[in-house]
Amino acid sequence: MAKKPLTKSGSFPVIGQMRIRRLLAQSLRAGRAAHAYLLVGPGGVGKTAVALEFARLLLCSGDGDQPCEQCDDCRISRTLQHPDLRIVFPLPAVKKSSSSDDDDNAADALSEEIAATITRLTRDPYAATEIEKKSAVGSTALQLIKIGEIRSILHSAMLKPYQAARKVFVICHADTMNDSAQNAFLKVLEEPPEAGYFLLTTEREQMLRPTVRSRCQRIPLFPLPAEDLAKALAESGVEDAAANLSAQLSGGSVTRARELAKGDVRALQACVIDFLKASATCDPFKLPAAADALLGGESFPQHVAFDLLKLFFRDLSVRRSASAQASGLTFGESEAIVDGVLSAFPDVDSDAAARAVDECAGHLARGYTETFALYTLAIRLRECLGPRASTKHSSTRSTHASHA
Amino acid sequence: MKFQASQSSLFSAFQTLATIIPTKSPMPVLMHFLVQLTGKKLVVTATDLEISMETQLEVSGEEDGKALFPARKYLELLRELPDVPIHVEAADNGRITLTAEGKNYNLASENVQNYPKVPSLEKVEPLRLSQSQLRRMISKCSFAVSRDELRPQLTGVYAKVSAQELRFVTTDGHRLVKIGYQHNGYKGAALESIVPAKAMQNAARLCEREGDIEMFFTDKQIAFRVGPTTMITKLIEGRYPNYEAVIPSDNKNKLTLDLDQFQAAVRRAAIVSNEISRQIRLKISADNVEILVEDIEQGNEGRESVSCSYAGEPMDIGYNAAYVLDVLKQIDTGEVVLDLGTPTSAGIVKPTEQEEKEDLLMLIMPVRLN
Amino acid sequence: MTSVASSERNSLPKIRILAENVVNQIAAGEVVERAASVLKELVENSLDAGATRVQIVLKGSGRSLIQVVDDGCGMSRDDLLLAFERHATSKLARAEDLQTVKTLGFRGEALPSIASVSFIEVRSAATGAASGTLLRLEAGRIAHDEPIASNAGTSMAVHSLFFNTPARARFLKSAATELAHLIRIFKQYALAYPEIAWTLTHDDALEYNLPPADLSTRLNDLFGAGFSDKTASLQFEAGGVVVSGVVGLPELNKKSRGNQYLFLNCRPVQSALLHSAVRSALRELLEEGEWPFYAVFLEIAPSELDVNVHPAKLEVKFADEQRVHGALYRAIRSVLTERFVQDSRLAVLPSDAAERSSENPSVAVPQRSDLFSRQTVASSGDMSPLTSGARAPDALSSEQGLLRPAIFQVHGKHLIAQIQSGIAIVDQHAAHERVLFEKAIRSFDERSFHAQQLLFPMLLELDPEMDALFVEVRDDLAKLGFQIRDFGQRTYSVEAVPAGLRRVSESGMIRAMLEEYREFRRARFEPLEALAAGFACHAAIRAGDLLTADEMTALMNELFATRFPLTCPHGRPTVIHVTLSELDRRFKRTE
Repeated sequence: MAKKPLTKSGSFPVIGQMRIRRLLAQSLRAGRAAHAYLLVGPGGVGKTAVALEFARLLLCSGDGDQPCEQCDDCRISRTLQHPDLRIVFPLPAVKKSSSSDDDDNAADALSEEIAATITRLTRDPYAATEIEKKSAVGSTALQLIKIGEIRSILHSAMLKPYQAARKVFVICHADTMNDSAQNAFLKVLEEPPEAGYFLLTTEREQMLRPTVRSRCQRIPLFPLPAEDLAKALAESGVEDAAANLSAQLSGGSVTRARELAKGDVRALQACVIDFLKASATCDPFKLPAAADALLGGESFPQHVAFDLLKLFFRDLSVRRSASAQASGLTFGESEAIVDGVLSAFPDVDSDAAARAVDECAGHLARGYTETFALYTLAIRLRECLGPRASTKHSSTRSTHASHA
Repeated sequence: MKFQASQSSLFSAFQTLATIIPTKSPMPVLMHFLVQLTGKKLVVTATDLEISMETQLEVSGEEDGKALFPARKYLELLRELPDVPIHVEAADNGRITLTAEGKNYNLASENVQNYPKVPSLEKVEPLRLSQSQLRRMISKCSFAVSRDELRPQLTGVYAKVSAQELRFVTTDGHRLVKIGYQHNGYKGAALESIVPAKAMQNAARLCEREGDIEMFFTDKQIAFRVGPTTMITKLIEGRYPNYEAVIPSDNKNKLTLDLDQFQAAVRRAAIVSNEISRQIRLKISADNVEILVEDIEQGNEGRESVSCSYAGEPMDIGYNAAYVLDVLKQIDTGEVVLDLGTPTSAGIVKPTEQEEKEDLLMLIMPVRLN
Repeated sequence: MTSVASSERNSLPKIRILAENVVNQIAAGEVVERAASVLKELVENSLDAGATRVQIVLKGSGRSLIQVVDDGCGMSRDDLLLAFERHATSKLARAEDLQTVKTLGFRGEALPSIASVSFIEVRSAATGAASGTLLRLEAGRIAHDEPIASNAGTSMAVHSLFFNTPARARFLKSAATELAHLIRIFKQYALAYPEIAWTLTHDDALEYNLPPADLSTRLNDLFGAGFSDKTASLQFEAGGVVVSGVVGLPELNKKSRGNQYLFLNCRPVQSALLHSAVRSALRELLEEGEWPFYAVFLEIAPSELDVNVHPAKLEVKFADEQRVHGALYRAIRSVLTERFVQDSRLAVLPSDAAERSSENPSVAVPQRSDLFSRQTVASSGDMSPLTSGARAPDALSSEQGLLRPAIFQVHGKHLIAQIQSGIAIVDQHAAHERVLFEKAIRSFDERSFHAQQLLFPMLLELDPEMDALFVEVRDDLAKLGFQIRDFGQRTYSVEAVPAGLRRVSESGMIRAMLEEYREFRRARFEPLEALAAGFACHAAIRAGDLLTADEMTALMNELFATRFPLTCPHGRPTVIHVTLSELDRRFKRTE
């Protein structure tokens, strides 16, 4: 599969999602482009990136499978300032204040935020498209696409395009339209204007009214393969091992992979291994320190440590079942540890271990102390590892494993 | 780009376009004037993507070119400068410099390449007519424009230009106005377009003086030019409903009424009518029209008669009083003619005599009485 | 790896035992969330034992002691021992028995769980037995077991709850909060079983002493004398669902929850479904954020229930939700009489109307004829986007300036009017919704809407789902003034719309109404109400619509002529009432 990015412009890289991008381009060139698309998928897989790329293609006056980057339209659309392109995203509800001056200031701050967000998108199509709560804006935390925004879209949709042959509306987080906004929007979806194209993105498809969903062509975007992500991370200067690990843990999300790569994910991995060792022995002198280290780090949310633990047990099963070279092991060069555990505990029940990890996360969520939850986890893990193999058994097993 | 001009001429030229500049926009370029210099001609443009305005003025040009001027800062600076010659220069790096009698200001600006394309009218044939005629036509048809954004076409004014006639049509589905005018000649291609109501309103505002106005019809835009100032506006997409088909050709019942009498009677009846439905009822017989009104919810009622001349079947027909008054207001003759079909079909309302070169026709739909 | 082997032997067994205890405690945490859950379990056991007197003794908000003493059938020593074994109650012999759950506590998890986190002392004697048994348990282990002389009945005392689970103990709220939970549990059971005598003592003070009574006496005993007069009793039966109990008049509405009592087969339950039925039945009488008082008893055959959903047994599920909801909704709607409405409504009647019904008018208001005379009808053209500032001079008569304006519109969405007792602020959209809703309901009988004929019939193409809805309501739409022709293939032509709705987007109206209709049906409105609500919602004027003086007056008059003027069909308020005394107080004008 060709992994070459579609866009030549280095400032606008879209990662992976080749099948979807080709499909969109081909349906346009075959004259079968729908007036409304709903790009569905988890956060950070590139919904906005794909939507923006397709929007630029819709505006381009060329006829290639990608924006030609030569015509006037491409030149302007690169800055996302094309007069026939409109990008909408949820905004914090501005709290009405008693003085209208404050309202104006808040609105000004908001419009600066909007411009800044669009500028960010030109540099990085994976940038967040939700404007975070800002104290300066005086907002509540609620992020909404308001009815007023939709009305203004309806209004501009009914007019002819300004300069391109089409006009494109990109609506990020379409699910944040409230009921009345969705209702209003429905009208334009029912009878879309000839030149109007609507690209909606959402992580929470079910929050959209079925009537809205049914009028859009659904484009599912799946989590990116770890290899694509690892490669992209490595290209952006992340060290290989950390890039691999971050990609594995990211759940196929560019944004999460980047966040992980920013922290010291390798150090956390070491903590996980320490905790496993302490669990295997249930050594009362080592367990406390290992448990503290596991959840004590500031740089990652709790679930990352648990994800890593589960990945370790996943690696165990992969390693045990696959006779082939175990590629894609998360613990990568820690293969020795995986093999060591396998040979020392031939009866390890990795499914049960993964369940125990989930359970432990559940205990924490219900308010049990970390120490309590982690000690229980250690006991469970010890049970899951099963009895220690005899020395003889383990040596044959380990030889076997290293041949495999 | 380099030029020099007096503060007053610059300020008044830029000032006319200031209303178009959006105060806030996700597109920063729109908060700028586009300024283009060719020889002595300085063309200034502003757009909110829906309406663009352009004006020209003469300056002593030194070096051709184009640039973006940050609208708010530039205009406010201009306002505060004394009326002396001002030297303006746009550097290649996009910075704008204003120099006047030792005062020197330097403004940051956006890249002129990112400004939306300005539509060109150079090859378009204009239609020329008097400002007062255009204003009159707009004011006659404006009341019937629909506010239903679900039928965007009806929220605009249908404008059709041909070699002989300029025609405007508006309707909200309850009333319809068709007004035509035999103009003095137009060499361009016949064209139909739907002009946003707001744009027509702005055009009417341009028609404040005695002279003529030029109209330019293109595929995507319509433009109005008075003197050095041009307003270009985007059109509404889509097809206007087939209004010709709903104008009845066989309404045999002809009712002629004294305008003032009828209008006064309907106005009185409307007061007593239900405030929401505005329902009134006309009982039409050979020489008189009885106007009946009843508001069951408030317990009000009334009746009065107006003499008329009527050729047709006796008829009992319901109307929204407000619609009747709207239509009557457009009649300039002493009498009004209603051509009626049935109590549930469209009635035609016309003056007894048309203005010179003009053709005004209105339709009004009745309310079915239970 | 070698260190693993050496230390394993020493440490593991010790921790293993700990682990088993931990598991028990975790389970306890799910069942025994707080002191109130303990009380609930103990009371249910007493009720199961057929008690006629139940005494409750609390100390330290339940942290030190929760004791329940009953005169029920008591337990033998064997039964007692069994009761503290997990999943071993005598109540549920087989899994199939879940189908016919009739007793209150059936899980058998509760006592062992409670025992594992407290010290317990039980004295119990079975009816007719020669002697009783005294058991003491410490953290689930039996520490003491001796025969004693005792009357029939059981006394169960739970001391030092959560003494061994500091993490859970930390989760307990303040003493006051915990006590409030305990009292609420007590009130629930006291309401559900008025025929039983109850007492409750907290820290040696007798808080409640309730003799056996009927429900209304019990209400008065619990909530204060005269309380039951402020309620309306329910009595309704439909489709195997029996509804009884009481609903509070609007004066009992509170801004906070806590006064909603719902019983299913005499078992206190929580049910979002049933609560929403009460709310939607009372929607006109509830302002936003208000909670009604109710104590509602439902009786349903046990086979129609699934109670085994939440460990605390509070949330129930029904086999046929629609039927249960409908029964409760109709039970309440059927008692919604003028009695419910009048008190709250009088307060905000416009002053002229109030004056007519009041003996001593305190505010002089212009006669209505003054308001109307000489005012000309503003033409609909005023709303046209094209109308320039030039108004016809006759549109505003010069005399009008002399009239006292009665109503103001502010921000294009609220109306402010003077009323007898102060000012009323009206939400124009909500108010118009209410007016149109009731008008539509009437129109289904009397056809109060005329049909405005359209120049351009509007084509309506429906998908199968919408079409099915449309067919349901088509005849009723005609009664609202719609005139619709069938083209076949789920395509229709709309040739007339209700007259007088000129601010409405006509083309999308039917479709929007159908969607609203579907939503209201989902919210379990009756079909005609749902259609009327959908119509009103879409046809009403919106925020931002500027109203003429006539229209404002008309809207106010029509609003107060409706049956439930204070809320829109969704139940949101239409009017905010600010009294003169409130205004005086805000202006620091005290006399």
